[in-house]
Amino acid sequence: MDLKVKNRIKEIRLTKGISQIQMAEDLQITRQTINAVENHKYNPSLELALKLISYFDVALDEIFTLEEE
Amino acid sequence: MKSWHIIIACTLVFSMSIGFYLGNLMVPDLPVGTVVAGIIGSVVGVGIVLGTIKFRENRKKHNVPDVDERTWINIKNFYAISLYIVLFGSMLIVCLLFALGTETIELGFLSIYLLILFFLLVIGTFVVKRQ
Repeated sequence: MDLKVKNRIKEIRLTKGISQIQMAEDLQITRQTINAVENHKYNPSLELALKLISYFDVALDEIFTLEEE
Repeated sequence: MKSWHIIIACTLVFSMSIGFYLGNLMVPDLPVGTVVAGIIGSVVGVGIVLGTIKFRENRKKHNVPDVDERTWINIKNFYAISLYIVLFGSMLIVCLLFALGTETIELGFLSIYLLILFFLLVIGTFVVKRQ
């Protein structure tokens, strides 16, 4: 069984009306990284994941889920 | 003056001293013109790099970093792959030269080969950094 981490970052970001540039500035990461994370091409480190939770003020399982491929 | 300015200045002076010493040791009657051209070339090269960095910093509209955790991972992966390519590539070249009957490799050719490798690694790092 192949499991993959999925995230709802794009959805939450758009709901809150935050642009990628704004988010990149606030979290001090590159815009390309946001793009890669949103498109499920890169899994953020635990540090960045915790920063994202704190930034969006949501629970961990609201952003990240483990799904079967 | 920041501490890294002092480190850069010390490294420059130290490297140039070693360069002068080695140059003098290898080629005792090195023409002054060649030495001057070498120094000017190095200074212009460093100047262009520093100028480009400053220009890019001034042009930057947003306070977004150039490098983050994903970039470092990409760069590390690039170096790991490059290591194998360079090792196996070099081995292949040596085998090929041996098969063609070459018995010795001139230091000049080796230095050009290393220079090209270094150049490719630097270009590759910049390409990977932007992805």
